Amino acid sequence: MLKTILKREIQHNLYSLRFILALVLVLGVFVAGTFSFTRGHRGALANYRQAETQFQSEMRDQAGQNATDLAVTRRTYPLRPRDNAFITDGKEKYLPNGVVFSAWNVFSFLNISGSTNPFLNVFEELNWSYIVAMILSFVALLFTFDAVSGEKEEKTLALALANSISRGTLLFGKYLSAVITFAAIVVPGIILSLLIVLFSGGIPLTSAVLIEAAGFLIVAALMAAVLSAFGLFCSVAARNSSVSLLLALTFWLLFTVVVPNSSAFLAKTVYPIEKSESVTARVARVFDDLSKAAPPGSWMMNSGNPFLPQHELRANLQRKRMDAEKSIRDPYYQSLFRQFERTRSLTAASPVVMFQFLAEAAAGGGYPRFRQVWDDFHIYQGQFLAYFKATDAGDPKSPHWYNPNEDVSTTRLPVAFATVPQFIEKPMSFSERLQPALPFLIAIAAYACLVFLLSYVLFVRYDVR
Amino acid sequence: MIFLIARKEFLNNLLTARFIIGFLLCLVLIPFSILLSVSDYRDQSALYRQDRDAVDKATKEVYVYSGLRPTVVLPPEPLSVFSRGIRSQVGNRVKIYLGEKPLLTEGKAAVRDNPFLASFFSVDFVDIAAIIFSLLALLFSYDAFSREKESGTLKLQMSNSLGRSAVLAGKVLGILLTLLPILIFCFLLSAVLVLISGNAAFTGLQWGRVALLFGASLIYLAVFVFIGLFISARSRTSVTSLVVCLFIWVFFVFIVPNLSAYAAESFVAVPSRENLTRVLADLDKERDGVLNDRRKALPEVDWDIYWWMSGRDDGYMETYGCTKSKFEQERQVSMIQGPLLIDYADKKWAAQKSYLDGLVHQSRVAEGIAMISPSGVFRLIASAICSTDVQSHEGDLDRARQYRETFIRYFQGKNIFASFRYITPTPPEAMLTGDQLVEKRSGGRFKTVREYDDWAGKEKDFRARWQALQKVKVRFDNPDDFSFLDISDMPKYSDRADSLLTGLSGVIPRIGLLLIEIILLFYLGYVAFIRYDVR
Repeated sequence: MLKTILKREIQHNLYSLRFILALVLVLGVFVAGTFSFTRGHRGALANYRQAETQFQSEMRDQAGQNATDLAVTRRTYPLRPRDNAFITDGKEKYLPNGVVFSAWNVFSFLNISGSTNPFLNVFEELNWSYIVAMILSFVALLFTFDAVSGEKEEKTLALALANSISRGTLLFGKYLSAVITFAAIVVPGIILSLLIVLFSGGIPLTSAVLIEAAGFLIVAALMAAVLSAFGLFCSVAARNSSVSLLLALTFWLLFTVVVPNSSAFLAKTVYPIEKSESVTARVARVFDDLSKAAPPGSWMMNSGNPFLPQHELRANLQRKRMDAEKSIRDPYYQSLFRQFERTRSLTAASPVVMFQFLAEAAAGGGYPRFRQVWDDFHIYQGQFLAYFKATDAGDPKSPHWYNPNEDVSTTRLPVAFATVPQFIEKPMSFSERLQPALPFLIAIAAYACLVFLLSYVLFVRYDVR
Repeated sequence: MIFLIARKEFLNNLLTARFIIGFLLCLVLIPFSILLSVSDYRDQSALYRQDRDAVDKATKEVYVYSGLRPTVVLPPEPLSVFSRGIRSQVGNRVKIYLGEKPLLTEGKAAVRDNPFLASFFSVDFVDIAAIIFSLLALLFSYDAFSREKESGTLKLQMSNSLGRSAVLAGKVLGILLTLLPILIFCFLLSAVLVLISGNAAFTGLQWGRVALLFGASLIYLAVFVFIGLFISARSRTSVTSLVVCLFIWVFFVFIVPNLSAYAAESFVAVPSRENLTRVLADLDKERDGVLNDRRKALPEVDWDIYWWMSGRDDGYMETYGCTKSKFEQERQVSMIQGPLLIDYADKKWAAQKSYLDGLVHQSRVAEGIAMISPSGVFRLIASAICSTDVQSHEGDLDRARQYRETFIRYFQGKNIFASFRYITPTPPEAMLTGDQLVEKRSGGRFKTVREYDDWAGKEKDFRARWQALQKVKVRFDNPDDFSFLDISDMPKYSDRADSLLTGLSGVIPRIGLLLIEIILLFYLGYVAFIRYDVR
């Protein structure tokens, strides 16, 4: 019986005007978005390559001159623009995309400036995630908002239920058909987009990308399931279709406009953090105290001779300063991460937002990517430091007084650049992607079931006449 | 007759669920947007006050003119509560240098301590208005004809001696009458919220601007009413009409604004910032080369040490306790350096300007594409009315550049580069020769610089070398012996002097565009309705 209902509903959907319009709009946006992506990505990659080449050549030059210089120089590692950002950009343009480090510490992160135009309003890139989150969430509601109330108005609902068919089966048939219709719009769009990417050249379509696309499709279907359930809910909750439409639109605005746009405000009010000025002031205070407490002569520096005794005092002071700053900054960074993550969890009340997080996980980008890079960088910094200490230990002309800020009292020999450890960003593994996304995955599935159940309960009590 | 129809439409609409739900939507969303914006504005004002105080303090606490470089702090725009425009992306400070014209604003752009929050977007009143007003306009007009046709009253109506144009005009009027209370309600509500929040103190002029915004909203609303009417007259059933309307709505309100910016960013490249930085650094190097060459031609000094010195880029040089000839040398350097800095700032400007033009061009292209959609046009009009668009920000920067010129004229008027006061507050009559200084400081141990130098050349311990000169303190050898510079005559940056219509020249063609769209849609709707099968 379910099969008959499914067939009828899907046919009904496919022949409807809304299907044609949705298909045209969605395909159009997929094409426009992917074209813009391939073009913009080329520019972004060119910028990245320039920064990357500069980063490498500076490191190479310093390695050829002086190992201490190489170790103490603070440099900014630029993150590569993701090739699969056409799936979702994860708003990486607005997130930190550079890590400041030396062999001694991972200092901070920053958004490498010059990548965005301050005169251009902030905007969402038209990637798959945005298309599904904005347009297809709307389409999913549009296909279901009058599923029950519309049929009631056409008087076919009573007729359908006059057959030996349970209300649950009918509702589930409508539900499933909406999700399938949704897929019938998304899949051609994704295929079209992949074809454009393939033929534009420059971006390799590896099997990994295809798997990511499949993953994306699954989470998109889950979102469609939640939104369709909401549509059905609106349909059975209202007596006529125009009220259910308004109800559906209200839900849609809530999920796509109100909840996501309130996040900055929520972060500020619900999870306040320490001001950056106050952190800077605390660091300055500790620096001051350390300088005062340091033995006299710690700040003296007037000779090229590395074995001057004051260099040891100075090295000790600089190390203490670095450790003290680290012990203030690192917890502060953790508080930033916490604030951001908690706010994200809060906005996950909207299934559309939840879907965007899941799409990020599917593509291995966005905030989780940055967090992984940040954590990996601390491991890399340890390797870099170990390498430097080993180099220094091998130099008899060095007093081995480690000074993390200056080139005074450690080895001044050059090193072969090829032996210097390099940071290489690993693509996120499956488990790394799944782990932070798992709660969202479970929640979105539960969301779908719950809302459908709710609409089922309402439908059972629904007056079909 | 038209008014009768309009009245009927109005009363009809008033009783519907959509009127109530539309009202409720506004009741929730408008305070939501105002709440977000007012909270942002409060943070901006706090930041402004903090920055302004810090800048005032830093500007007052200087001892020499070479250290005097004012900073312009732009106050937050109260109207940004309605339309944020680009204000949330640009900084609020402009530092005035001699060696470079201000390019862009600096400072914390959005008031966010957590850089990750930059990936959270936020909406303002105009964003919400663009979404809600268009939605309501379409919801009230999509079934203007089809509903009556479906219920059979349209034929009945047309069987009276009634022109179709009268019916159309009546319907338009009725729908606008229905929407007008909602619109007024939204504006009143937001005005009340702004007033009770007490953060953004609006002047009469700014309330006038809000009134202009109301007018623009009304026109915007009308465009969508006519879109709805046209589609209604072209479709046979109200469901068809509704679906078409909603897709148009999503396209205009949600897709076009993002599409325009995304396409502009992808297809219109901006000059690279790194490139500009390189060009400017090269010019700096060239300038420093010229300065060094000319510096070499200056006469020797009798004792080439700075007793107390602090220097930075942009010609900052503050020194105390030098010999008269050393001071004189530094004065001569400043006389060369000051005008040189100003000259090279003009040379740098060509490269800066082309970079800036690139940025502005990209945003213009984005604006151009956004004009496909009435929402895009409305947003542009609104940000111009609220002085938060690119043009008014450019105006602020231009004023900062003019202020730099005024500041330079102030320096030139005082002939400041030729004055000792540019590098030291030490009065010229108190300046001593090298021999006098050495004798005084060493407590008579050394009579001449030569004597001291000979001794110091043999002395291994550098601390002893220094201590020998600290036997007697010489007056005026550090900043503590002086009070701060009197800068009461320094020209002040004057903020934008607004009138009701300043900066609105760009708005007129855009309003014109919306009006043309209305006329065109009215005509199309009229034709379609004439041909409409009312049975």
